Amino acid sequence: MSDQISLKEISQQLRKKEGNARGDIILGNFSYIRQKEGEVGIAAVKRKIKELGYPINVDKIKPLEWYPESFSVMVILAAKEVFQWKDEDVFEMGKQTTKHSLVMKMLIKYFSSLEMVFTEASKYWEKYLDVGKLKIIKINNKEKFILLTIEGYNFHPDICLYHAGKMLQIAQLCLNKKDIRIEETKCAFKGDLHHEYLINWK
Amino acid sequence: MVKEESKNKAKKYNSLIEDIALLESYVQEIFKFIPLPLFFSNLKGVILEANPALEKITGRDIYSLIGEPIENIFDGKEIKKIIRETIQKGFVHDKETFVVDKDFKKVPVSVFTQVRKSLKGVKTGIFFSLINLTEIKKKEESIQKSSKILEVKVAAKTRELQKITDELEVNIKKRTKELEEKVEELEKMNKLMVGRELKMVGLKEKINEYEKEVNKLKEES
Repeated sequence: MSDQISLKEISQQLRKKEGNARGDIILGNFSYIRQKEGEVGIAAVKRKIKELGYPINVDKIKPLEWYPESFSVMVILAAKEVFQWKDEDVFEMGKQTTKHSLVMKMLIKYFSSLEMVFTEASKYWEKYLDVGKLKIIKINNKEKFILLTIEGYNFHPDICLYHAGKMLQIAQLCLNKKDIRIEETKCAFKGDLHHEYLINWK
Repeated sequence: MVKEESKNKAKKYNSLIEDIALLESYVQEIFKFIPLPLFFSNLKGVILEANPALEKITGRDIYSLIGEPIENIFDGKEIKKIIRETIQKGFVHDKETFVVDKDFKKVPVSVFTQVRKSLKGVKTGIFFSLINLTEIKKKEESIQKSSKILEVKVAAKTRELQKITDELEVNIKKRTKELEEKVEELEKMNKLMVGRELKMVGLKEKINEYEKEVNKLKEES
């Protein structure tokens, strides 16, 4: 019960934050929940969202329409609570939803180089989210790392994991290597100015 | 005036978004509907997009397919050859290989590929389309099996016919020999009969001579 109240409190705080996301991001999350937890899982998350007082009809979400980013975040947090997911599951959700999204289809032709794909990904960030910015800080193919930042996006610490999953997936798809790691080296929720992610591979 | 202009721009923008959404759903519906397995990979051979027909043939869901190196779902050696040829030639048509499904069962397929290029002409990946040959192969096997059965049956019948022919030949030879023997016997009989006839004729002639002599003697006496 205390968890539920806590989620409601989080929801109230999130609704005060400005920013919108394209419906495709939310639909991608529901599609992943359907694949992992089935229709019963979808119904459970919808119920939870309704309990939290969101007036959005999930069945009518359109891929290119704008919806509050707070709602998109709440879908992830609600799923985490309903299915008692761990942090790794949220990370995995970020990874898997990247595979099957509109952005992925747009980025598909840039998957021949990591620099190219993340340069385009930062452009698509702005097309699919009107809050925050994704930037490449440094890329070094010789030393095999790329440093990225997300600025101006501070919704919930769990979303740091979700975004880390997404970025790792893009790198994996591009490099076709299994030994790729991602680490959040700076976090706005830990007192830093922005989120910073270091991806390195062998 | 400025307000009116921005209102018009917003209207045009919204209308474009609606059109894109419609086009997107149209492409998605076709992609989902097509019964042929279709997918797209980057030049390194990592699957980046796949349709439900590929999920069906591989027995894997879309999430496990995307990000998977192509050689993990195909005969690795053959598919690498196909990728090399596609990058060189721009396409590959009707190359036979097999997909390995999640239970490691081999599914025979015919592969068609096409290089995808960016607007600047840079190769960005490869489109793949597959034709499932399972049913065709089954039919081929069944025809081959039937043909073998037919061959065996024809050979058996040929042997049977040969046996009958051989037996007939033996019988004919036997009958011919019998007939030849009978003809020989008849010839002998005939010769005998002809000899007798000739002797009879000679005897008749002698009787006639004797009769003439008797008659002559009667007249003289």
